[in-house]
Amino acid sequence: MNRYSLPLTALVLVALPFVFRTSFALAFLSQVGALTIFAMSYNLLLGGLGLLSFGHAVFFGLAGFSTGHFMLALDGAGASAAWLPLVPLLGAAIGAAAGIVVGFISVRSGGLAFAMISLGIAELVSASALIFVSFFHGEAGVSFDRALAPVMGITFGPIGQVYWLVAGWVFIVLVFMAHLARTPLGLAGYAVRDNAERAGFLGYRPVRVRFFNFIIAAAVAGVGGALYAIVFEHVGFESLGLAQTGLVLFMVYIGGTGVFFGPVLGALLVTYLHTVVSRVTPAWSFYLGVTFLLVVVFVPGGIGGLISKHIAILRERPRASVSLAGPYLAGAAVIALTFLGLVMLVEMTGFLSSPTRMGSVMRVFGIPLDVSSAASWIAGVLLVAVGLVLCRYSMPMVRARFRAALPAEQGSKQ
Amino acid sequence: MEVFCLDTFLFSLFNGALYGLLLFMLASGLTLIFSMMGVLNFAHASFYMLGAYLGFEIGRRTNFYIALAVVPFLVGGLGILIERYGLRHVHAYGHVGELMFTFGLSYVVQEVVVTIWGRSPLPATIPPSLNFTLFSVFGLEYSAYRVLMLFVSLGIFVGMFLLVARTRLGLILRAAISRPDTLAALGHNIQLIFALVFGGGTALAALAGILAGNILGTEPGMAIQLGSVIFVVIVVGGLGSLVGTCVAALGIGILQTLASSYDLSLSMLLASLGIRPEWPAFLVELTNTTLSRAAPLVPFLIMVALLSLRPNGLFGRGSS
Repeated sequence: MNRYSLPLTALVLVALPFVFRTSFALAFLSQVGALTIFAMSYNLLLGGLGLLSFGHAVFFGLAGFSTGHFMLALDGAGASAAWLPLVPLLGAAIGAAAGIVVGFISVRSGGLAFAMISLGIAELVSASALIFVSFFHGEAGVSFDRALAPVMGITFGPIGQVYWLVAGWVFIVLVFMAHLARTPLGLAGYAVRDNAERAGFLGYRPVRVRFFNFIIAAAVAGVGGALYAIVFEHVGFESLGLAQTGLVLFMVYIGGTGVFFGPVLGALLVTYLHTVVSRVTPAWSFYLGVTFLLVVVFVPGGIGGLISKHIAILRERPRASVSLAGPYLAGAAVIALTFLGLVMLVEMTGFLSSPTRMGSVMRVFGIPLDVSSAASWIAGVLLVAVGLVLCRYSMPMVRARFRAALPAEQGSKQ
Repeated sequence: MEVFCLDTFLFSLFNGALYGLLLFMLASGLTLIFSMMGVLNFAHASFYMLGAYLGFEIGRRTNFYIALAVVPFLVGGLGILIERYGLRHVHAYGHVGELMFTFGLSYVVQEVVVTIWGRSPLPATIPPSLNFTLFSVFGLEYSAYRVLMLFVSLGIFVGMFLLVARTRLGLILRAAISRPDTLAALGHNIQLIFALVFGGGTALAALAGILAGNILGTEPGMAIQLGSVIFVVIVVGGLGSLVGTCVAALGIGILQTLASSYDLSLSMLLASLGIRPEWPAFLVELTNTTLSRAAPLVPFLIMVALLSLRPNGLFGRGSS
C-alpha cells in the first residue's frame, strides 16, 4: 500500500472493460467486484481484529434479500435507473442494523467464543430463512429485474453498465478501507487483536473497539451483498449460510490477511475456480479446500504475503532474486508432479462414481486414462508418492533460500 | 388439550433421549479433543460421516460387526496422520489457526466423500440380525439396534469418565493440557499423546457414524446437519466439561425432538385460551409458525440465549 496504489487501482478498474469485452468476462469481473467488497469486510474482522467469523454471510445475505425486495418495489413503481447506484447504501444500512444486534451478542470475547457464537447465529438465520417464507421465499429465493426506467440511455440492464456500478463501489470501499486502517478506530483494532488486555490498559476498551469495527464490517458486507444480488438479479437462502462465509474465508486467507490487496487476489482466484474451473470438473471445491489447507499450514501470510515479500526482495536485493530462480523452478516442477498425480486420482475417482459416465476412458489435461486398468491408478499413486517424497526434501531447501534472500528487516518479521 | 397427549410425549421423550445419546457420542470425542489439546475440531462431524460411509462400504463387503470393529481404527488412524502431518504445524498460530485448519479439513473431507460415493444417499439400513423388537414400553417398540446404540453411548460416557478421572493415563492426559513442557521434561512423549488423543476422538466420531448412519441415513448432508449441532452441545455444556456435554446433549436432543412432534403455534395456543388478537401482517408468519417447523432452530436459540446469560456454558470453568 503506497500513495500510487489507489490511483493505479482506479486506472485498472477503468481499463478492465476495454481489455475484457465479452459479456461473460464482464459478468465475471462484476461478480469478483461484489465479492471483493465482501472479502474486504471479512478481512476487517479476520486480519484487522483477529476475529474468525462463521456468520459473516448473514449480513451479506440479509442485505441481498432487502435489495431484492427493494428492487421489486422499484420495478413495480417504474422508478428511474438513477436510484440503482444508491441501492448498496440500503444494503449498508441493513448490514449495519444487523451488525448492531449480532455484535451486541458476540463481540464480548474474541477467539473461540466469538467463532462459536457467530456459527450459532449463522445457523439460526439460515434455518429461519426456510421458515419465514414471505421474506426469504423459501428455496426459490427472490428474483427481480435490475433494469429500471432509462436515465440518459442507462438502464443498468446490460452487464456492461452494471460493471461500472460495481467498479465504482469497489473503488469507494477500497478508499474507505485504506482510510479506516489509518484512523484511531482501525489502529485500536490492531492493538486489540495483538493484545486485548494491554490495549484495555491503554484506555481502548476491547469490546467497544471490536463492536464498532464489527458494525463497519457488517455494513460493508451489506454493500457487497446488495451488489452481488444486483449482478445476479437473484438472491437465494444459501447466500446467508455457512457455505458462503466459508468461501469468503477461503478468499481472504488464500489471498493474504496481512496485505491490503490480499482479499482482492483471493476473490479473483476463488471466483475463477467457482465459475471457470467448475465447468471443467465438479471437484473444483476439493482443489479449493486443499489449496486452503496448504496455505493455512505452509503459507500463513497467503499469496499476497508471498508477493509483497518478493517485491521487497526484488527492490532491495535484486541480485539475490536471481539466485532464487533455480530453486523455484525445481520446486514448481516437484509441485506440478504431485498436483498432476492428485488430479489424476481425483478425476478418475469422480469419473468412476459418476452416474452418467460412458465407457471407461477419460482425459486429464489431455492425457487419456482408462479407469478400468490398474496401470492408470498405479501411475497416479506413484506420481503422488514420488512427488510428496520430493517435496519433503526440496521444499525446506527452497524455503531456506527464500529466507536467506529476504531483506533484513523483512526477515526479522518472520 | 387435544394436541397434547401422553403417548406422543413419551414417544418423543424416548426418541429424544436416543437422539441426545447420539449427540453425546459425537460430542464426547469433540470434548475429549478440546479438553486435552485445546483444539476445536470443526471437522469432527466429517469423521462421523467418513465413519458412516466406510462402515457402509465395509459392511456391504463383509458384515456389520466387522465394520463396527474395523472402521473406528481406520478413521482413528487417519486422524493420527492428520494430526501428525497437518494440525501439529498450525499449533503455533493459536486457536484461530487450528479452527481454520479443521474448517478447511471438513470442507475437503466433504468433497472427498462426494467424489468417491456420489451425491445421492446410500441405501444404509439397520442390519437384519439386530432389527427385532427387544422390548416395548407403553406400546412403543424398541429394536435391539437402538438398545445397542444406547449401551455404546453409556459405555463411552462411563469409560471416558473413568479413563480421565481414575487412571494414570488420564492423569497424564490432564497434565498434557495444562503443563505440556513439564510433562515432556518428565519423559513423556507429548506429541504422541496429542496424536493419540486426536485419533481417539476421531475414532469415537466414526463409531457414532457407523451406528447412526443406519438410522439417520448415510448421505452427503449428514456432516453439515449434525456438525453445528454438536458444536452447540459442547458450547452449551461448557467447553471441555464431559458432564456438561452429556447434560447438554440429552437436553438439546430431547427438546428438539419434543418440539418437532408438536404442531403447535403461538396463535393456536392463544386461541385455545380464547385470545384471538389481530396480528400485524409481518407477525402473522411468526405466530403461525408451528413448533415442529421451528424445531431446527431449537439448538441455536438455546445456545444464543444461554451464551448471553452464561458466557461459559452450563458447566464451564470460568476462564474462556
